Amino acid sequence: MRRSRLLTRVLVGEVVLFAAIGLVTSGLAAYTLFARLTSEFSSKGTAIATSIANASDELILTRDASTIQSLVDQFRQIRGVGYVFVVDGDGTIVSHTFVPAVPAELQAIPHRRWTERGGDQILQQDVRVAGGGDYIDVSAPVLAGVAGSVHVGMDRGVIRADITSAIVTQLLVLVGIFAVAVAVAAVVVGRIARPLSTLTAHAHQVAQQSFDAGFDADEATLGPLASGHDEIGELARAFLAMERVVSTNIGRLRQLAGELAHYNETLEATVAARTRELQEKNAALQTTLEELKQAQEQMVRQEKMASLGALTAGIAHEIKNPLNFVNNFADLSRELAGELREDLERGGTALDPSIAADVPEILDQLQLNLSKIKEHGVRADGIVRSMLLHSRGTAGQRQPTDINALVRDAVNLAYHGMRALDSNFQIGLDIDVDPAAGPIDAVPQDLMRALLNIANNACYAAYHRRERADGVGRVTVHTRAAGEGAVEVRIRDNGEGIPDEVRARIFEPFFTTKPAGQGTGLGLSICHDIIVERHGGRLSVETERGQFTEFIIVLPNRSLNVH
Amino acid sequence: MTDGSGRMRLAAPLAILAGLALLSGPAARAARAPEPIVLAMSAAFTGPSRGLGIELYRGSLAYFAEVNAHGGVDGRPIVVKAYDDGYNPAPAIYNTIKAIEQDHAFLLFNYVGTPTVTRVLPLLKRYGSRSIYLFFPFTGAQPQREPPYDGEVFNLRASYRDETYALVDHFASVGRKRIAILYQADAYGRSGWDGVRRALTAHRLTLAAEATYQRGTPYATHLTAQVDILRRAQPDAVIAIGAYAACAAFVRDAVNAGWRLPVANVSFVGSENMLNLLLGEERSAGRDYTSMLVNSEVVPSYEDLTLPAVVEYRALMQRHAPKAPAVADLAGYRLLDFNFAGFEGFLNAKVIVEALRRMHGDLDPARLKTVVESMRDLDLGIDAPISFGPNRHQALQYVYFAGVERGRWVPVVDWQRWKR
Repeated sequence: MRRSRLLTRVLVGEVVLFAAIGLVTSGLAAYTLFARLTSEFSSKGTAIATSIANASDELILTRDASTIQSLVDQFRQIRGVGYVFVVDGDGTIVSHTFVPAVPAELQAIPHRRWTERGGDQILQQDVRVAGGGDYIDVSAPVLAGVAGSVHVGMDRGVIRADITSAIVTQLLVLVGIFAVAVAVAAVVVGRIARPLSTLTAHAHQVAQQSFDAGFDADEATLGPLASGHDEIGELARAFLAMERVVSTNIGRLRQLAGELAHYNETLEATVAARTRELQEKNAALQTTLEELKQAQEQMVRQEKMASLGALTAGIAHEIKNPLNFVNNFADLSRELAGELREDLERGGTALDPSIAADVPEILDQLQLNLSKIKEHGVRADGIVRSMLLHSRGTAGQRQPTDINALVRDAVNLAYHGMRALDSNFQIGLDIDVDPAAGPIDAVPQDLMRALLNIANNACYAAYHRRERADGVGRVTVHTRAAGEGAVEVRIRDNGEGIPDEVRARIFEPFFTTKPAGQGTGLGLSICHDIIVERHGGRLSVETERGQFTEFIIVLPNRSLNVH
Repeated sequence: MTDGSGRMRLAAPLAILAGLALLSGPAARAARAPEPIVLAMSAAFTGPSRGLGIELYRGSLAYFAEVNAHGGVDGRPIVVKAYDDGYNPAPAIYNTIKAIEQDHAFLLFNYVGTPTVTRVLPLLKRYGSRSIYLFFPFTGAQPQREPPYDGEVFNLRASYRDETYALVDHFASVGRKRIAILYQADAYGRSGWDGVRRALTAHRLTLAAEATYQRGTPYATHLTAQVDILRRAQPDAVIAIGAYAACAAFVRDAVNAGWRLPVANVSFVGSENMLNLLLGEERSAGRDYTSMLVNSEVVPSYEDLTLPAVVEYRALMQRHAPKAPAVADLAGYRLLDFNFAGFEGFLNAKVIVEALRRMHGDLDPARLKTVVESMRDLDLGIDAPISFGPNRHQALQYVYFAGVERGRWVPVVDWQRWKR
């Protein structure tokens, strides 16, 4: 606890006061005692000298010196008597109390004849004996000095010792009183100083605006003080009132400051949000810009494809005519071979039997070869037709279209296209068409394009699932009559499936998941356009991650949009 | 002494019983042990001068023991009741009052010391109606030899004045006329001082120097200041009026200071105690501290076997081997065989017994003074018959001198030894 300055001051005051009292009273006592004791010793010495003188006239004159010595010795015992000696009428010291000898200073005291001065007066003088102290020498005449005189030396050393003893005692008492006073002062001042220092400590806290403890805590500390009925109580109450006002004001100020701080924070957050939005928009713009660049590339590529398509159509058209010749003459040659067989059966006996035996066998072989030529020729014709169909663009007319054939052609074309691009391409292919699915009114070129696109995707996905456990990619295709002439086509692959975030965007133009350069991002968008927009059909996709993807195409028969 | 006091305590209640029975004294007394004659002795049995009291007591007791062994005086044993005053006046006064009022002493006997005796003297006046007398105090001071107290005191020994006159005369006779004095700062010392001064005045001389010492000064104290004071006056001899401890210390310090001159002590000094101290000093220091001593004595030398009293004293001392009284402090004190104080006590006892015998069984104190004063030419065996009379309470005036030879006090026969 901090030492009370008030207590210190009171103590210093007490010390000064007591020092002053001690000095003054000691000085006064010393002076008084000195005067009193000197006077007292003088009269004592006078009394002793007088009584010895009165008793010793006869002793000096008539008796042995031991008698007066005996008398003198008794008075020597009295306190304060330093020495006694008796001088006879001749000036000889006949009795004394000195050891080892009468000091020279006292031997030098001249013997007086009191009669000459008249009377029996007592003489006093101060005597200082070298190494023997200070004395008040009181001398009394014996028989008016005729018989001698008696000298009594009152010891001033005893006076000094008495004064010292008295003053020491007084000072000890004073120190005792001082100690009591200090203790009392410490208690009293402590009662005043402790509340004051409590108040001071709180005042310091208030000055430092330290309201952390809260006003209630202050009230708890100062409450006992404030309940007092003295000045300290009033001071504490006034302090509490003041503190209450200050506390309220400070609270209001703090509230305002808090609001201000809140506004500042909000402003920052808003600015940050705006900045973030701008950054996002910038990013979006950047993305759009990149998409635009991709679209531009796509368009360039498409342009190339379009010209490739035109070239392909031209080539296919040119190949179709010779192919027609091959097919037609293969048929014709087979019929001719049949007629030759019939002719041979009717007139073959004319021939050498060994030759006749070989001819049917050769004819069989010839007819088989011609069948093969016809079969592959038809097949080539189909391919060329498909190429023409695909490359002919949108210029096609609505016509009744065999959806099953169209689906079969599209899937086959996709499959073989893949194989043409990649010699390692190998997947399983199941095509299951419903014969009940009749022809529908559609633009076959457009529909072919859409189906080919979807089949392409399926083959691609199935092929790229080779790393799966069973290791076999498979594409399954179904057609089914869906009532009222509508047809449903399902093209399913066991590929990786489509992630949800991708699935939502697959019909957007230019959206692709293929590596750059391998896809235009327009395929499904065009499919959607063809099936939904132009044919009033529905295009949906079902998929499961890691399992399958299935495109479901529903085409109505007679609800063609007006084009 | 313990026996005596025990008997006293027993006697008082018995006496009361006897009184109640209204029987006559002699009849009752005959029925029990004879009542002792109590002599009260207040003396120094403790302190630096205890040797005086102890040896004086023992010398007396040697004779009383012999008397008591032969039936006492008229059938009553003599008992010395000892009181210690330590050589201080106040206890001496209290002891005396107690002896008279409580212990019913028949007389006061063998008191030791001038400062004590001079203060007791007024008591004798106070108890004058009871006929209390002081017999043979061991002091040569004048007050008990002069009015107004000469009537209450009987002195056997010569006075200090006698001793100092004799010493001064003898010193003067051998040319030693510058006499210095060392004396005890009290009535005793002053008495000797007075005697020396008067003696010198008679020779038209004055004191060469004087120095004092405090009564009770022990041997261990150095008296070099006194030696210096006296030596400055270059005296021919020093007369010391003191007790043995201080006087021996003075001689020791003088010799140690290289100062050798005759030092005379008066009888009170206790010559044997002094000699023992200085002989001890001689043994330890290996130098002579005793050859310059010349003491005045008031009884003949106990070495003088031509005197019947000396022979008797020695015989009785050996026969009874008296002990010190119970009050004595014997710590560090060795009882002496024969000595001046003891011989003086022996002679004192001899006179008292003679006085008591001359009362012929009627121990009325009022008769005591008359009986003693009627003694004439009593032969104690010291070749000096003594007499008392109404105006003569001083029996002896003889002064003897003793010097040290071979560690013993021997009579001085030729003062030429100290011729200057």
